[in-house]
Amino acid sequence: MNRKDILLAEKIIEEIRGHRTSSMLIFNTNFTQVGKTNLMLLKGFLDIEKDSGLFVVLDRPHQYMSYLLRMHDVSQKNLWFIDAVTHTSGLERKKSDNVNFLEGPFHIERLIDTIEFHGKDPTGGFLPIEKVDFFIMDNIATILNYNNMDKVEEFIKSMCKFHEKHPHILGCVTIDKESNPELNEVLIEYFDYMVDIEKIKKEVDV
Amino acid sequence: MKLERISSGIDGLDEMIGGGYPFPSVSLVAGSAGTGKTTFAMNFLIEGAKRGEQGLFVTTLSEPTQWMLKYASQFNFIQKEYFDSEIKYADVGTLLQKKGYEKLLDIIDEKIAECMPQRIVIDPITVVGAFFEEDYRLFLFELVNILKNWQAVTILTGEVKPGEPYPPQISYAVDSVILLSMLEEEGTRRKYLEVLKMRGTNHTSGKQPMAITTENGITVLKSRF
Repeated sequence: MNRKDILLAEKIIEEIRGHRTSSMLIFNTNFTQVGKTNLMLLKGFLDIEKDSGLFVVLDRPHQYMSYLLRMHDVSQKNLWFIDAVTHTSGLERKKSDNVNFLEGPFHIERLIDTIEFHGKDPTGGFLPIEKVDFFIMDNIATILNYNNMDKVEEFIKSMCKFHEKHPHILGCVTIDKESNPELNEVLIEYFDYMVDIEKIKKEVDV
Repeated sequence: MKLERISSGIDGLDEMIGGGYPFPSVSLVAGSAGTGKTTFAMNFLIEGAKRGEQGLFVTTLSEPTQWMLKYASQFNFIQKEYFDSEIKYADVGTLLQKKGYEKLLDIIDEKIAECMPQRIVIDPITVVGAFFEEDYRLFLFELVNILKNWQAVTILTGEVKPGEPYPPQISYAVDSVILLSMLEEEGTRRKYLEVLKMRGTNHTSGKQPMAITTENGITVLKSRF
């Protein structure tokens, strides 16, 4: 992670700080930059804010983000993964204390329950919901590969209900609004605020 | 959900493949010596650099950076200031000679994680087959699986053996295959580009004439047929 990346993570966190009272944020980024944006978000939450949270993977197996975080010296001590994609990726599902696997991204209705009840996992080791400061979904547009728009809208509504119940948790989703205008419309309807990563990047570049 | 695509950087190719390469994906660009495989790869990386995308060029040839740049700099479209910033260069040739394929996969994985590229080139992939003959299939399977899970478009270049249309071991694993060829016609060698396969894409089929110029690298010409 170079100086510019660290500055970007700091700028993103600065922007978020003004909206911590909101419950759900959209991060608009170019589709080629989704992975990097998520890394910057995690760097900001975990290293700068010292928060605890969940990273929900819908796009690619959690091992990749975990590896990226390790390579870029971002602490994973307070991070837990909910992995909805390894099941379909051909990769081995290795049991680990900080990962909860879903059977696949086809049943997103189960995702909120997994977030809600993961703290009650009888095997233990997972973060209790009251200690979760944030959750991030790696690329929300991916669920449209597995579910129709009605089902996705239902899911977004269930996210809203979840946040009414747990207002201390900041929910974050990343999306490229240009590539996914229909989904973006739905998100704007239910979410509180959009952070424009591309705009912040331009400020950092100057 | 519509497939997201990035420009190939080759004049005339994006129109043939629905607007560009599906993102993310792994593609093979195959051809015999002198057909323009590395030029194709450079066009692809330079296009990304212009758009603010990070590129990674992995060579399997043990070729020092300055040697590669010496030839690359002959092309006007290659902006040298991109090297070592928007385009990172990694030489894994020495590793090929000394280590096993698993170590090579680890190093490639590490290089990708380090610079988080949106565009990756491995040039040429077929050299690996000579070193890991027995494990080559396994290596390719694991490599493609790794690459597909990184958020990038990867181009693997592959040398074609005489009598072989494309390297068969790789082509089954990748998302797309583009073949570059040279045919002797009326006493001159003409170059062609053909999209053999591209998943999720209604692509133009058949050989399309192409040219390589110092100004633009590869350009797909309008078909004469």
